[in-house]
Amino acid sequence: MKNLQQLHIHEQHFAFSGFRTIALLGLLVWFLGSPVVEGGVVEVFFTDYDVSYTLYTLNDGAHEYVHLDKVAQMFQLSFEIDQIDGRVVLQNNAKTASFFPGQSTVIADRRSHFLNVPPRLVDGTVMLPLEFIPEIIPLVYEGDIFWDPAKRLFQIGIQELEIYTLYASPYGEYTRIVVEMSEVATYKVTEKLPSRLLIELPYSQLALDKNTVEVNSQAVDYVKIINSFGSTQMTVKLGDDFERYRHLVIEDPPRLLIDVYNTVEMPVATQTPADETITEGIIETDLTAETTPGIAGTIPKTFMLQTVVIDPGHGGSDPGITRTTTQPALIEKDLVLQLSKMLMNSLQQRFGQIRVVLTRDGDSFVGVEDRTTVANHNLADVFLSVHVNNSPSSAVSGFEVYVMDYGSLELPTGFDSLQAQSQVLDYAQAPQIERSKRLARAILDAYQSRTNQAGRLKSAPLFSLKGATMPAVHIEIGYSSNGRDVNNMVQPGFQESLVAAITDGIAAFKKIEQGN
Amino acid sequence: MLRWIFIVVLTIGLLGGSWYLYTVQPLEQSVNVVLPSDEEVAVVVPLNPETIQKRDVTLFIGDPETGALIRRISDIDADLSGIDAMRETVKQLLAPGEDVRNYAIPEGTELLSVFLTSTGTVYLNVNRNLQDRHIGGMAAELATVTSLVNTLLFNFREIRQVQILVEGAEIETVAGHIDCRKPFSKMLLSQNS
Repeated sequence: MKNLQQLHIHEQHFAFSGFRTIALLGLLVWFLGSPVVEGGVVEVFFTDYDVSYTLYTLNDGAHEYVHLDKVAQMFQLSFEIDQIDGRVVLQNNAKTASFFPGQSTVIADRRSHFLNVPPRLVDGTVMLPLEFIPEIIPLVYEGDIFWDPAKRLFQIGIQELEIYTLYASPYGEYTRIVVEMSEVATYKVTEKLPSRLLIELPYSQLALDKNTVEVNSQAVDYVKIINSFGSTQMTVKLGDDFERYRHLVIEDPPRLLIDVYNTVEMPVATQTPADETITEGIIETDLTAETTPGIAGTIPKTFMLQTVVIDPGHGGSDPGITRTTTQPALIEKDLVLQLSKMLMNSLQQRFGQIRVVLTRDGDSFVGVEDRTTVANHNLADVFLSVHVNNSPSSAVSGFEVYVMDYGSLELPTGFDSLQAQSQVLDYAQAPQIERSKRLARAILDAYQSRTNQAGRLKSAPLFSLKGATMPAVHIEIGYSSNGRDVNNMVQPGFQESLVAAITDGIAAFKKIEQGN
Repeated sequence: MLRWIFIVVLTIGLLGGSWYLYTVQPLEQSVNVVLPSDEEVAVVVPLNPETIQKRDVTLFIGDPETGALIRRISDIDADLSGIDAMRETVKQLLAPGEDVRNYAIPEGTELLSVFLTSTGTVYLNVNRNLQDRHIGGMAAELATVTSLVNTLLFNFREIRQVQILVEGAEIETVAGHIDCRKPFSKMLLSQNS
């Protein structure tokens, strides 16, 4: 009996142990088999460009991963994946880093580097462990990378900018403000005219004897520098006689110069020493200011209409709007190309020696930014983008001319630094907006004269205009959603009137700009 | 004896099931799935529906007659706050009602997720119908972007910027005209609303 009892107790104990083991095994298998489900976010801030990214991350419960292509895009690296063996090579000029997904070894800088967590291949996408960014990227990217785990923030670029000296020297017609720094840094100027200029620099160590510098000249009241919210901000309080300003960075020794003028005309003896390299920073105009922003120190020159760039919208794989109910059918990419060529001929006949360039002269796809690049590279005096409009409503109709609207966009957080070289170009249209409006009104007036129909002037945050460094307008010739407009647009007579109107408008604009 | 048979059967079942889950189901989910996703919030039905507090929200929706945006006052539960309130507002914007359609938004556009950063940038993640089914044209595209941006900026002071994403990715434009690479920080032109 006792043996039986012992046996029974033993059986119960063994059974209990068995259940516990199975339960633990089950939990272990479930945990290992769990698919990746969580995601997170890290911020990446480029201090040199004052640009911030948000990177989505994958989390398998133990480690976080980011997309290889996103990382490459951010740091402007090229990468290749070998189709045969799957090897990934990241490259920046002569620097490379290569690895195999699934393996912890990365070859870079002529040696092996070991990651705690290997890169993975997930659904055909190469995912990098978060440690890849601070450990490997600095081997191919020229810039320091700092990881702040509390803020989940990668900070790239200058970390130790120091500002040594701040002083201001009033001269007769202008006051020069000088900021001496440890190295050349990008900066951003925000105009709060007519009272202040705000210059934002990467976060800096301030080693100034005197911070608020009282100037009390005609153009400048005082200057002060403060550190605020992760950046360094210099405030220039403008004097009552402020007229205009210019700003530039000298590389050797590194310093920022701001000349604030109390005269309208440029002084005669303004020369830049031959050994100075001038770099201009970004200008942001406060479009909510009540007064007109000051000009940025450019010498006014007589307007010459030598080059016009016409941009037929869409093209190639992007047909734009299509309407097959008309005869002939309306296909936006073909119609605007045809009109653009007609306009080119019209301008050449009207202006003789003028050069007219099309961003595309056939059925080819051209990227939106490439279109303004054509205008900028050709030093165009006028840039026109030609399109066909559309609306959910069939009642809306008519000819419209758009100019750029920056009011809804904020510089620079969220800016895609792949276009870093156009960081200035993206706001290149800002100083030209008033001229663009004059061009638009001239075209609209001419349109009304030619067709006896009123057009409309509008504005929008347009991709096609923002980078243009000359007067630029976006023309919508009519609405494809409106029957009357569609019938007009495909008629040769209307097209000729339209082309003549735009030519008249450009001619009128030229006269206005030349002061005739 | 029966007890042992039961243990053996259970073990086989556990191992077999785990093997099935491990080998048949994909180990990793598609990367496109792993983004901040809308979580289904359990709806608690109050005992007396008439006592539910509501909060007004202004929706900027497209008018099919004029093509412009009109303001439509709707309401959401006052209990909703932050990201939940934004999510609900956007859902109403995309589908204002049974007999009401927002003509500024392409048909089939659905909200996938809403994410708000500590710096006040809201990421509005919608499906690809926003682009694929867009009718095209400047005016229509401007109405689309204005509808989304203005609705969020108007109703939620904590939002500083609105960034539109399509299936988790930043986009250059919706239909080739309006620059959507950067977040929008101010309401778009009132000519459209």
